[in-house]
Amino acid sequence: MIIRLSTLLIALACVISTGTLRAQVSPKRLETLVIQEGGRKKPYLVFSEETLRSLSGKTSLTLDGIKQDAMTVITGLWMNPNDSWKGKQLILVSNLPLRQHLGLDPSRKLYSYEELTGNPELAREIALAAETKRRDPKAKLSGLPKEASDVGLRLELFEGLIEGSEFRILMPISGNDWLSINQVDPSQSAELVSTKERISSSWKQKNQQGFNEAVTQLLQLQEQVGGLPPSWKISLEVAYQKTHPFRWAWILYAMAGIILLLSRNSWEKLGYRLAWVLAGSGFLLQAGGLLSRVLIAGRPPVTNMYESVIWVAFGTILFALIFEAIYKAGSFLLGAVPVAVASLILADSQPVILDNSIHPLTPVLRDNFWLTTHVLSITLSYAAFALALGVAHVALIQVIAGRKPTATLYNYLYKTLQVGVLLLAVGTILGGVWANYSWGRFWDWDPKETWALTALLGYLFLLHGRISGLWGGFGLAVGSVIAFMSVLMAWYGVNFVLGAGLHSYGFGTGGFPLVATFVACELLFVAIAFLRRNSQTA
Amino acid sequence: MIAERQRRSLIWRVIHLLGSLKLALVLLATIAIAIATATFTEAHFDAAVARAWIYKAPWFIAWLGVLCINLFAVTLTRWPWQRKHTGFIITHYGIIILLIGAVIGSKLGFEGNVTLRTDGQGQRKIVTDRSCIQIESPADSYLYLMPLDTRFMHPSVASPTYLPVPGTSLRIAIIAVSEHLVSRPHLAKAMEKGAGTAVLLDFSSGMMKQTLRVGLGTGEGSPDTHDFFGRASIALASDSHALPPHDPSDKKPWLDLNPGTDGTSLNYKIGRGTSVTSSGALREGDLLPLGWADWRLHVGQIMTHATVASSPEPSDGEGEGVPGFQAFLTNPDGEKSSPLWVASGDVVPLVLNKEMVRIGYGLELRPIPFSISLVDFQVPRDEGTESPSDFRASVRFKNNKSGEEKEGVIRMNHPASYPGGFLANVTGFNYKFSQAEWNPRDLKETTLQVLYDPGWLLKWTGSLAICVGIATMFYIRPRES
Repeated sequence: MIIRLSTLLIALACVISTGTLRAQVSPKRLETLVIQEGGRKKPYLVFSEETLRSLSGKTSLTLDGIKQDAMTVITGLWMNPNDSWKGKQLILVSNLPLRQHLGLDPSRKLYSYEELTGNPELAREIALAAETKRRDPKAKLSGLPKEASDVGLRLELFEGLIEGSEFRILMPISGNDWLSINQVDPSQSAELVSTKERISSSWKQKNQQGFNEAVTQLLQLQEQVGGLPPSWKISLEVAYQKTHPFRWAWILYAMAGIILLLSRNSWEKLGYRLAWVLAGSGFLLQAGGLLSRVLIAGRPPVTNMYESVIWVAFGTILFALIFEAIYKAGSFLLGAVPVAVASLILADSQPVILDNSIHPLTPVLRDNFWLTTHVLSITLSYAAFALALGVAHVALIQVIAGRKPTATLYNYLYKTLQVGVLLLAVGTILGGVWANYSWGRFWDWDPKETWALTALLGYLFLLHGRISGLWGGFGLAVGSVIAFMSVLMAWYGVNFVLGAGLHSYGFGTGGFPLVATFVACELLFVAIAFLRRNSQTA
Repeated sequence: MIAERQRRSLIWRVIHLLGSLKLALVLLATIAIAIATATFTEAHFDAAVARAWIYKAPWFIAWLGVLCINLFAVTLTRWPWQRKHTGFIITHYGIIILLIGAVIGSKLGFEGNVTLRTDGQGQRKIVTDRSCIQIESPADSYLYLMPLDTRFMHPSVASPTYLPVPGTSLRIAIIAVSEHLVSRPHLAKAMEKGAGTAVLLDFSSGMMKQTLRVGLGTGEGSPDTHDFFGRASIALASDSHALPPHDPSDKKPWLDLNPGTDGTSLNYKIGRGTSVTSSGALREGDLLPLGWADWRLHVGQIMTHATVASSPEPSDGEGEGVPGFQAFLTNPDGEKSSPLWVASGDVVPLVLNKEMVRIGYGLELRPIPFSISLVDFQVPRDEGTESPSDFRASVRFKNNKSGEEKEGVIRMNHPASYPGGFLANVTGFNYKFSQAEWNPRDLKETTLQVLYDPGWLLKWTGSLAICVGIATMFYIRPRES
C-alpha cells in the first residue's frame, strides 16, 4: 500500500513538474490520410481498423490498462515503434487446439510478439506450412498448419507495422506499388522525412497542436505527390466507417417490430403507421449504407458473405414493404423484422466469420453486368424466401398459440414464395449463361449450381403440392420453413461446409455451430407446430 | 370434360396418368434428393465419382427423360388450351427445350482444355476430360482408342480386366490400378561403354514426414547432381572428373559424393560454402544424419556398370502422382508377359513372344479443324499486390484447310470464339475459348477451357421460355371473358 502510494506521489510530482496532465494525443487528424493496402487505396481510419482486426481480431484494445481505439494503437506502432511493443499482448491466436499445441496460456487469446517468436513449436509449424505452400502454391492448408500460418501472417504484419513498411502513403514515380516513408530516398524528400519526424516527436511528447499541424502538412505533401482517389470518396468511406448505418437500421427495425407486436385495439392503426415510419427509416438508412459501399467499391454490394447477409436483410424488408404497401396486412413486416434484425446483428457481431472490409474482387467476378443480374436476383430470391420463412413463423406461432391462421395469411405466404421462385429460377439460369462466358460451360453440376437447383426444386415441390391439394396452408407454412434449409445450404453450406467447386472465391470457415443450432431450432419449432395442430384437430 | 374423355379413351387416360401432379411431385423430390446427395459425395470423394454415380449415370438421365414426358403430358392434359394456360405451357415446354439442348450438347458437342505457350507451337488438339487407353495393334499398326477410367475399375490379379488387342488373339490383362503413380528411380545394369557407377540414396525426415529417393550415376544419361528442394545440392563425382570447388558466396549446404575404388563404398563430404563440416565413407545400408534439420541419408544401393532408370510405381503419398494401371499381355495359350505399370501420359511396350503391343493411357485428345496459338499473355495485378486483376491472352487462329488467320483476345468473362460471328455464336456451332488456369511461376503459359456446344441455341431458348413463362404464370392475368 505504501509503495503504491509513493509511486502515485512520484507520478503526481512528475505531472506538476511538466506543467499539465496531458492525455494521449488524438490521432483523429490522420483519418483521411490515404493508404494503399490490400489492392486498393483507403482512408487511414479504415486501414487502422482493418489492420488491428487482422492483428488482434478486434477494433479496440486495452493496452497498459487504457482502452485504445484502432487508430491510436496503429498510430502508436507507426510513430513510436520502440521495443516495448514486442512485449505487449496484441497478436491473436484464436484457435484453441493451436494454443494448447504450442503450450501457450490457453485462457488468453492475445499474445505478445516476443512470446510467439520465442516459441520454437510455432516456428516449426509455420515453416512446415510454408514448405507445403512452396511445394504446391495451390495447396489448401487446414488444421494446425493453417492456424499457425495465420499467426505467422500476423507476426509478419506486426513486423511491417513496427518497421513502417505497411504504411504505404506515397505514389511512386513509376509502377503501381506505393511507397512508405522509409522507402523514399531522404535526399529527395527531406521535407517528407522531417514532417514524419515532427509527427512522431509530437506524438511522443503528447503535443496535440504540433501533431495536428504536422499531420496537416503530411496530408498536403501527399496531395502534392498525387495519385489520390477523389476526396469525396475518402470522406464518404470515413463517414461510412464511423456511422455504422446497418447497426442503426436493425435498431429501427427492431423498434418497428416491437411496436407492431404491442399495439392492440384502438392503438393498432397508430402503431401500424409508426412501424411503417420506423421500418421505412431503417430501410433508407440501410439503402444509404449499401449505396456508400457501391460508391466506394464501384460494384454491386453482394460479393462476399458479409455483403450478402446485409443484402438479404435489405431485400426481406424491401419485399415486406412492397407487400405492405399493397395489402396493408402487418404480417409481412412482422415476418420480415426478425429475419432482418437477426441477419444484421449477425453481420455486425461476427467480424471474423463475416469480414466487412472491402477487398478487390477475384477476376471472374469483375463484371458488373453479371454481378448485378445473376447475384442480385439469386440473393433477392433468398430474401423472398427469408420473408416467406418469417411469414410462415407468424402463421405457425398462431397455430402453436391455439389460433387458426386466416386463409389470407396463407395466401400472402404463397405470394411471397412465388416471388422467390421466379427470382431463383431467373438467377440460376443467368448463372448458367454467365458460366457459359466465364468458365466456358452452361451447367456442370458445380455444388453451388446444384444447390441452387435443389432449393428451386424444393420450392417447386412445395408449390405443386399446394396446387394439387396434397397439403393446405399449414403444409405450405411448414414447407416454407423446411425448404429454407436448402437455401441455407446453397447460400452458406456450399461455401462454408462443403467447400468444393468453382464458387471458391466465397469460401470461408466458421459459424457452423451457429447455423446448426438455428437449423435444429427451426426443425423443433416445426415439430411443435405439428403436434399442436394434431392435438387441436383431434 | 376431362373425366369424360378419360372414360372414353385409353390414350387420354395414359396421358393424364403420365402428366399427373403426383408423378411430378415424385420426380421433383427424387431429383432434388439425388443431386443434393451428389454434392456431399463430391465434397467427400471427388467430382468424378459424383458424376459417375449420379449426374451422368444412366438411371439419372432416364429419370430426366421421365421428367420430360411428365412435362409434355401435363401440357396435353390442359387441352384445349386457353389464354390462361400461356405461362404454364411456355414454362413447361421451356424446361423440355432446355433439357433437349443439354442432351444435344453432351452428345454432339464437347468440353476440353488446351494449354498454350507464347514460345510454343499452335495446337490442333484439345484435351478432353475423358480418359482412354490407346492400343497400337501389331497386326496393322493402327492406334485404337477405347474409353477407360481407372477410377471406376477394381481389378486384381485373381480377376483381371481384359481388353482385346484388335486384329490379334492377344489380350491385355489389367491387374491393378493406382491414382498415385510416381516415377521412382532405380538402378539398372548396363553393359554399354558409357555406363559408370550409380547409387541409390534414400533421404528421410521425421519432422517433415517425408522421404525422397534420389538416383545418381556417373555414366552417360544418368543425373550426377540433385537439387535438394532448392535448399541444398547433392553431387556425385566420377573417376574422370572431380567436382568443381564450391562458391564461397553461396551459403547453401552441400553433400559431395565420390565412388570408392573398391566399387562398394562411397566417400562423402558435407559442408556449407567452402567449409567442410564432416566427411567419411559409406557402404550400402549405412545411415548418415546430414545436419540439415533432421534429414538423414540411407545408402540404398551402390552399383558399378549401371545407369539410373526410372519407372512408375504406386506411391503411398496422398495427393501426389498420376493415375494409371498395371497390365500384362496374354495369349490364348495362357502365356503372360511380365506386368508393367502404365502411368497417364506414358506409352509402354508390352512384349510377349517377340510380339510387341504399345499401350498408352491418358485423356483423350480431340482434333479441331484449325490451330490456336498464343501470341501474348498478360496478367495485370491489383495495385500494390501480386493478386491478378485479369488475364489477357492474345491468340491467333489458323484454319487448317484455307490457312486463313484470325486474331482473338481472351479475357476473364470475355471468351474468344472460332469461327465466331453472330450466327455461330447464337447457334453454338462454334469453338469457344475461355480463360481457365494459369501458372503463377510461368507467365508464358495459360490454359483455356474449350467448348463446342451445338445445343446452345436450345438451351438459350429454353432458359428464356422458363423465365418468361414463370413471370407470365404468376403476374399476368388474362382478362376474364
